[in-house]
Amino acid sequence: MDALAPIVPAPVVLAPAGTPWPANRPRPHDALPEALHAQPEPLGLYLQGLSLADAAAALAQWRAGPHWFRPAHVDPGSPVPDLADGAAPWEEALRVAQHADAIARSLTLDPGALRFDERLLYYLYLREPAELAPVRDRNAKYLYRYPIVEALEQAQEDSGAWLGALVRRNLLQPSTLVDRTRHCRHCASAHLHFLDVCPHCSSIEIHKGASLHCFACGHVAPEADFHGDLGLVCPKCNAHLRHIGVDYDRPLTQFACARCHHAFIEAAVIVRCLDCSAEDDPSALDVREVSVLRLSPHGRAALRAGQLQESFAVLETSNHVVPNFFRRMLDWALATQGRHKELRFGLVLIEFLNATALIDAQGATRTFLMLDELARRLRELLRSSDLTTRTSEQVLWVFLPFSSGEGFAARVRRALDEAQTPEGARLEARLAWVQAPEELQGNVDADALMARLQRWDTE
Amino acid sequence: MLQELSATFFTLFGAIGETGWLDVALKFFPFALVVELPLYLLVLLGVVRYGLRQRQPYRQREAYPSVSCVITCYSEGEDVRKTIASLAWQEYPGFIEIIPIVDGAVQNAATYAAARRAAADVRGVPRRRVLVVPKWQRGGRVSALNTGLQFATGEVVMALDGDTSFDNDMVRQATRHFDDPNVVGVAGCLRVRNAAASLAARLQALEYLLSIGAGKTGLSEFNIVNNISGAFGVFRTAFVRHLGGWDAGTAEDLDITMRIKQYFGRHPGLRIVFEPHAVGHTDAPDTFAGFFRQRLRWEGDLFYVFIRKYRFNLRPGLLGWRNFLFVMLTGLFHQLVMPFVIVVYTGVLLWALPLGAALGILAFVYVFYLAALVIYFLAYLLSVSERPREDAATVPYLPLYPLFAFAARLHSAYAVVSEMFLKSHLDSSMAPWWVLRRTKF
Repeated sequence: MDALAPIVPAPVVLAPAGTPWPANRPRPHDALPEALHAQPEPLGLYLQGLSLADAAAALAQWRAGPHWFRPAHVDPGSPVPDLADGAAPWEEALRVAQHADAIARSLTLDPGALRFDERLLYYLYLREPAELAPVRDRNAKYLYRYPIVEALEQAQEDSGAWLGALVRRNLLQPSTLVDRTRHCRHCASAHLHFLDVCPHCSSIEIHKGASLHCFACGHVAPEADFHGDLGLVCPKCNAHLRHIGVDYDRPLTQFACARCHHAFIEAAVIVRCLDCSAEDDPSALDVREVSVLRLSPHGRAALRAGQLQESFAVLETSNHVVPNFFRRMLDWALATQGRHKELRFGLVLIEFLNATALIDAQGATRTFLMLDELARRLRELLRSSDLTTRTSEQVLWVFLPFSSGEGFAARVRRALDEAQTPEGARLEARLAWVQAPEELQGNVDADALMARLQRWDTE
Repeated sequence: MLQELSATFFTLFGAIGETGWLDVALKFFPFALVVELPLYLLVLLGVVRYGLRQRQPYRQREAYPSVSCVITCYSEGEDVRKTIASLAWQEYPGFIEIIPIVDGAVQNAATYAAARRAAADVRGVPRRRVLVVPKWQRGGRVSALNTGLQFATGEVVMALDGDTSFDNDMVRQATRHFDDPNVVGVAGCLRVRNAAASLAARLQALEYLLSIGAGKTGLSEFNIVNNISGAFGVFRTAFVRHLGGWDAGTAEDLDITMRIKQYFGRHPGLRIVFEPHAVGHTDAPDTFAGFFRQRLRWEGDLFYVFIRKYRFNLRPGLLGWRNFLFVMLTGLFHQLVMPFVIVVYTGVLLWALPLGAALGILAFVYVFYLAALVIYFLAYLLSVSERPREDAATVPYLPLYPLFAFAARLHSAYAVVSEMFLKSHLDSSMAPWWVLRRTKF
């Protein structure tokens, strides 16, 4: 039977030994390595009749292996582990696996050579319109985890920060808001507990007690003051209070602090972090939104165009235009300037020198977080009338009508200096600029001007 | 009749020329001369003395004591926010604790919510704290004040109304008197916030101005302030605690004033001061019917406090001679007896004389009162008023005022009778009936 390896590619099947299988299906195996040996190019994984623990273990292995991106299903009726695509009958699983395979082939990416963020997008792309659902987990530091994201991590990447960056870069987008969590400001843990304390001295030794109101003399005091030998007796007028509503009433309850004897109506609330013991005001906590995430159109396009490798996509701001348009605009400005000298502008070149080296040295996460930060600052520096373009992955151009290229370059330099990792690794960039018309000689066109800047070593 | 009226009127005027005004006055309104004139002259003298004293140089404050403002709230609704805000934004370097007590917070959920919103607005303001206390069970004003006293931490405690808002220098003006360790209470000056609402409100504004603004300023000079208004009273907290807080029953303001005064005989140095420049703005009833209903309670309360409650305490040994005489003269005679004298006098006049002649005499009395009123008003305007321009605008209503006061006096005779025979103090909006019936008086 072993010789009967399926001619058509199909998912590998794992099942407990002795499980019968129909003739049109590949033979089931009871361990993944063995199955992959028999069927080295599977379209997916199909788990039949496995216990939840066995299924989860097999899936963890699967997602960590070379076929991590391929669909994995369990047979209907079995419990569905976090990392599975769902429960489906064999035909359905086969169809989904073939579909995913077709999409994977349509992309030019090599799944084995992808970085973490790309793996995640790739995974979602194969399963469109799949979404990343957060799972509530009382043991997780942030209360919610995305199991798939964790499974796709390779090194010790901080998946939380990664997801944040992917959303900021608009590659992922939130679809449904699931929850709002509060986090300690010091350690970000969501394991907090709330304490009511005395608003005066913050002691937790507070007690609630009722006050009584004596109708005969109008005296209002804590109930304890009224307890005499004969029952309730007003401490002020000695009236014997026999009947509630007739002699007295209980108009309010209040707190009293055992430490400072302060009386109050509402206790103050503080929050204590279970992980780092920091105490804080509840309003000072970090509030985060937990959402179901899905691939954004932008992320889909980037993946299709294979542009994910482009580490500097984040620098594409709202002022971004394609290079041809940028050149055309520059030509137009230069031509207009020939007759109207008052049309001044600056042209700035930013060339990143060590981005690739940084990714190797610092890891992609940190480098991209740094770039993220730089992009945010750059957006702040740009006016709505400025234009940017990129002529290669690491070369960014900025066209600044009616403002100084030198001043802009100085501000970019400062932003670059501040955007560095805690270890002090920095993004190195070469800045060059030209001011038109002051620094122009004779007739130049856009190409000539840009070529000149790229040759120049202004700094 | 008109002829008779003018004849009588001018004859009386002629008589002043011939026999002197004292003779005429003694003949036609002897009671006024014996009781009211000395009182008015005393107040006038006090007002003038106050005005002269104001010329003394400014004295640096010794201390800014911490203040607890107990606000009794009932169904004021959003108005409570005005009150709380006006206290939170006082120009005062000391600590102010604002304690709105919502009586019957179950029925008055809207007021409670408004107070909590106001408290939220004030959160974080330095040296201010708002403590909203919901009194779920309605127990009346006194229980609310005593509840507030339980929470008050300030050296000075203020008893304030939820529908009264305050000028931003109120706390500064009111607390400066406590530099003097003998001062145990300060009465604040009330003005009518809704004066423009109607003629009734306008006339009451004038009345507040004359009887509180001017009247109490004058009385304060001689330490005989008649009453620390319930809507705006300021006390030394320790002294109020010593008194055992506010006492059950209606007219808790007059009651506590009387109980403070009962220390005056033994401690002649103690003082109750009226501060005309500590100003609160309150709502007065804007219809005459509402006004008379309110007065029915107030005037009745005088009988309740002076006769029912404290008739055995009206002794010079307790009150000191000065306040004893003053209470006898104003509290008993002027407020409780005079209304009947006026009713009888007017009745006899109308019965014995032809209508025209009677009206002529009343017209003459009217002119006499108006003249006195103008002098009184001018003295107030020149030496006391902190808003002279605004107050001057009420001059056109002065001619109506003697008629208004006359009607109020007649009505107070009715109020006293009603209290005497019907115990109308047991039917008061100040506390629910099941609480009032348990009081001892």
